[in-house]
Amino acid sequence: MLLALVELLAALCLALALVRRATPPKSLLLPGALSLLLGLGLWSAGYIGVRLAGAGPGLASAIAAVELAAAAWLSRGRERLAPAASAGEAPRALRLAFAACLAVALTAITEHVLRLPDGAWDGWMLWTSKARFLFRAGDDVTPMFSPALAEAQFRTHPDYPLLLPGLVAQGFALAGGESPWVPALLSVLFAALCVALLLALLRELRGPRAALVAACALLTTPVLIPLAAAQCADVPLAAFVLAATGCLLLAARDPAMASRWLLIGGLFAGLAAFIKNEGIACFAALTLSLVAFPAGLRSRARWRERSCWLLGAAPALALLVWFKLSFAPPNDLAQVPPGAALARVFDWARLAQVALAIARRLVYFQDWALHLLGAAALLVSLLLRRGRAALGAVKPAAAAVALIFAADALALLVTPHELAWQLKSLDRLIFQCWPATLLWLSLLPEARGLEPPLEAVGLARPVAPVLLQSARR
Amino acid sequence: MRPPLAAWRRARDPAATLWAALLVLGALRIGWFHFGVEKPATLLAAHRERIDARYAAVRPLLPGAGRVGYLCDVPLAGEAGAKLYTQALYSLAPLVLVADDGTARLVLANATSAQGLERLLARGDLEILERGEAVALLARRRGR
Repeated sequence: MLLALVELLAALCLALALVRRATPPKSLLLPGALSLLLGLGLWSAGYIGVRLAGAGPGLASAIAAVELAAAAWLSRGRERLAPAASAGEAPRALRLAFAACLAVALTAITEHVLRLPDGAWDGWMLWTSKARFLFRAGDDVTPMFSPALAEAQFRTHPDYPLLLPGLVAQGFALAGGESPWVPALLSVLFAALCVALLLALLRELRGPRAALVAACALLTTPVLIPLAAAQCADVPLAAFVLAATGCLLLAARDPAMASRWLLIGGLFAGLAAFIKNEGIACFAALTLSLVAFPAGLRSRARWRERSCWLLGAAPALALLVWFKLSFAPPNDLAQVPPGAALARVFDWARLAQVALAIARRLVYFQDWALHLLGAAALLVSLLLRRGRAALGAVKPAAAAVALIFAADALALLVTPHELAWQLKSLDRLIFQCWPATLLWLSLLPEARGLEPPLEAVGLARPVAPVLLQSARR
Repeated sequence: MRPPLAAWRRARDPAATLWAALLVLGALRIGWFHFGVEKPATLLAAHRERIDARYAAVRPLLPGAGRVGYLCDVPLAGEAGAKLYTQALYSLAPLVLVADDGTARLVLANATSAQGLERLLARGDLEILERGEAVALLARRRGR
């Protein structure tokens, strides 16, 4: 228990020291949310590294010592950044609406967590099951990746990355036993971090009105509640994708701090790749969009800044590659012969089935909550009126989300399993990018100049979400 | 300070009104599902239902790690078979449960019903170490 606590504190210290290098003093929500999320990721990644190495407490203590030393070094001689400008206050009506949305979400999530003490099927089958394995097994964890499991039932997915099981196993160690509250509370914590991060990022990038409207939209997205109670990896992945996307946008806004933001963003993107296999597509999409749309980055230093992104992602990617090459059995998608995969991609019936299922989610994104339809209508109307210029500085984020969806659609087309069954996961796939989508939609450069504290918060381009016009009138 | 509703009426922005309607719809959908479709009266009973309870009787007799044979009365590839198999893995981790090929010393019989378990137990090469309503731990008889 003590070792797990020391590892947690060391990871949190390192995360806070890293994030504090880029954020101005006196700002609390943004560095707090970013460093808590990063700290949790580092805590688990260090633990998984130790377990895969078959090493004992010695290596875990050494990693904690290195993290603490790095935190101390990063905190030494920190230059003074300009204090955060006051972003003003949101209208009372919006604050009340946010409080109401928060109350509804908290009540519903409490109900659902109590109703599902083991989480939903995917939660206990894929994630808590592996966490129990890590917690209960001795030094040798290799039976956990036995191909016999996948041969008996492919849904066991012994090839899935281990960041969430590692976190839950560390939680068990901290709690001194396998309390069902550990995975449940961690899952709710990730949902809370999604909301807090969206709020903090938009407050920093756009202002308090946009932040509250987007947070209300996330809180009233019905799929958030069952996913958070399910103890699946989709909500944690959504939080890491949101954080990485936010760091990309912060780097574009603030060229002087771009290297630091991209280093932190790379860390988040690398950790996202170690949450789920879909996270690998998220990392690739974010990296490609950074290469294709280096908006806001200084042209001379672009390569240096991009290398900061890769440097940040390197530790988690190294862990992922080691895990995939040395421990994990092949993924079921990788077992599809290239010819069969191509045939499936160009099978018009399959294409139509996937396209129709995606179109249906516009209305059925958790049954008649029309947020996705609203977001799609907003985007289409902006693109029709203003073309690609409508995207402005959010192009990298929008492109990353589009690439992630494209990768998901490709995986669905190629899947060796029954397509209709696989399409049931669409809500979860959409949610993985939903907080990041709300972030960049709220930054669209339509209706510029509507929010007064733009210059005060130092945004390079005055941008405002079109849906906030009323707040100013 | 203007009252919130008065401020809202002054705004009269169709896009904002539409967005607000979506948020209200989402909140209503959440309330309808979690307190309408899912009856609050069933909450405590659902909370008490734990996967581990099904395997509580056989767990103390199982080894701490290793491979154990697995038998089920329905195919593992189907929905019901997959659910039972993955539940057993979750509850009995870190055991690796492998479809019984006649070599494992210990075998977990996991059935969808008491009748299904009876059918599994009708095999002559296994003796019962412990049994619950639809779950049993079996040992392979020596010399076979």
